[in-house]
Amino acid sequence: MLTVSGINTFYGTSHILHDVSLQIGDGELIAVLGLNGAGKTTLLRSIMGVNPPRSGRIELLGTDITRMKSHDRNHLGISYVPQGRQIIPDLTVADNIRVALLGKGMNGSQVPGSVFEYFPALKDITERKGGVLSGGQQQQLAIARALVQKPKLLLLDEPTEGLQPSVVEEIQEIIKRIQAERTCSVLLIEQRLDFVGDITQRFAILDTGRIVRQGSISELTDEVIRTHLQV
Amino acid sequence: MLSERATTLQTTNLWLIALGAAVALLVVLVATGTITISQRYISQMMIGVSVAAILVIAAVGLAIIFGVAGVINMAHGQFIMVGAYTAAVVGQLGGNTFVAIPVAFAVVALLGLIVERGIIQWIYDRPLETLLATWGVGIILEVLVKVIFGPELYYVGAPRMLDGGIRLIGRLPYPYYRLFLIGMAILMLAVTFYLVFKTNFGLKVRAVRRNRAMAGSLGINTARIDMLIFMFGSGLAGVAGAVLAPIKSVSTTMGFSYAVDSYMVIVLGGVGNLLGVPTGAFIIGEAETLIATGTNSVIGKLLVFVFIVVAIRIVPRGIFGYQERR
Ligand SMILES: Nc1ncnc2c1ncn2[C@@H]1O[C@H](COP(=O)(O)OP(=O)(O)O)[C@@H](O)[C@H]1O
Ligand SMILES: [Mg+2]
Repeated sequence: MLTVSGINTFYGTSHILHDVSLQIGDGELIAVLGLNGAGKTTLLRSIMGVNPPRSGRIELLGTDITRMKSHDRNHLGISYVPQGRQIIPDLTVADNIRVALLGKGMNGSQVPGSVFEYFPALKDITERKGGVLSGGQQQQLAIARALVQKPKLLLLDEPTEGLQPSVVEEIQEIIKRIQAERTCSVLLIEQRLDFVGDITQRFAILDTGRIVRQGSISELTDEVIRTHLQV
Repeated sequence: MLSERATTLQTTNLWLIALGAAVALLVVLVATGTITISQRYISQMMIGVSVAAILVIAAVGLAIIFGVAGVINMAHGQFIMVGAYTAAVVGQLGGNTFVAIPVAFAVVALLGLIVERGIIQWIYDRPLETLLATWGVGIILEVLVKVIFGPELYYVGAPRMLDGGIRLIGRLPYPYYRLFLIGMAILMLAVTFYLVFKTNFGLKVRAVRRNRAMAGSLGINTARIDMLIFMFGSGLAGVAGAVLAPIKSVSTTMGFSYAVDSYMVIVLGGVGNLLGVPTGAFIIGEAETLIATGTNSVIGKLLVFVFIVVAIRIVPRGIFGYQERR
């Protein structure tokens, strides 16, 4: 599905990602772990084209997308749920979803009913402005907005960050369902290791911009956690 | 960031409430006979409305380009001028203002397309360079038009059906063309409003305006939205030139004063909301006309300038605020 080979990404002159390589297979979910500031968000921004890498190569289903604009990457099948969710605050819930439909070149005249089957919490608030929603509602909307695009690859950046425990579970259920139905490949950034263990076999660890470990969950030993995931 | 946005909203509401209260108070005072407004002032106010209409017509194209693409087009006055020359050419070919409006829209939208693709698209995120570049474009346009059309003034007549006028209150006649300008101002605002709030294109525009990176990640070609908005705003400047041509002689330097007026309107009104344009235009138009009635037009303009400088101290981003490009 996705092959990232040796990318280097910068903010201005600061070198953030160093020779990062990563692969995701069809329908697979991979968890990327790492401390705050390790470069996880930057990796997703590089894949999405918000911060394209300066060198290296990114391929989606065999197509070189390294130099493509974000919207072309989206059209090829990548949908993005960014950290902080980035709902458009002055658009309604329905309009936030319609933007995603129109952006993908789909019929945006109305929100498909299947959205509310996945996200019942959104059903009664379609005319509410995105900016006034609770964190959990915003997160559901952000995932709904990505899924209506029927992506091949879904990028999820800390989807449970800053949410109440009950809401965290709701979001985790949604991710499990995506995984179980093999809706699409998923690159998940997550800090909660118990959840990671629940949902996936494969992980990769970013430490100060470098992939230091990757493999199957059994290799995520206490020692590895102590070395790379604890301050 | 969220709280900052909330504060802007609250200040906006406060201003609207204050403005509403002032108008209400005035109405009450007049109705109860506490103060009397002479007929002369009422007809001046009506003239103020048409001055405001001219300001709206001139400013709306500038405002949408600034509001969405984040570019202050320093060639805006010259775009209006090109629209007016287009109307002059249409006039010589036998067409009237109604024919000139779509032609000027098309001509200046095309001009906007050339400027955007040729220059602006590369420098959107460098505000100082866009200022200088569009300023340069304005100078080039003035020279080019002077070379093609010569230094003499052109006159464009109003359509025959808009000749004459009605007598409102008092002795002053109110020309039909002023009514037409008020109608045009409303129409241009309505079309812009419809485009931005009622169409799929407008939904994408609003997403891009609010969060460019996220809109791109959702599949929207943000560069194309910027280009189309630049074309649309330029086209509106062309329409402004076409409908304003009959009230002033057409010359290569005619755009300057319209541009200054337009900048004043968006500085006062802000472009965070489309209502900023009519609000700013109404306040400036009425203030200018009413002060000019008491004194004279030069002092009127001067006092309006002073007023705006004071207003910028209180509402630095205009009554409705604006957002930086991001
Ligand atoms: N816009 C930016 N400009 C400059 N540096 C940034 C920017 N965003 C993030 N960084 C830096 O890049 C590094 C990686 O950040 P990020 O990818 O957000 O980490 P993570 O998501 O793993 O917490 C950090 O050192 C951070 O300070
Ligand atoms: Mg992050």
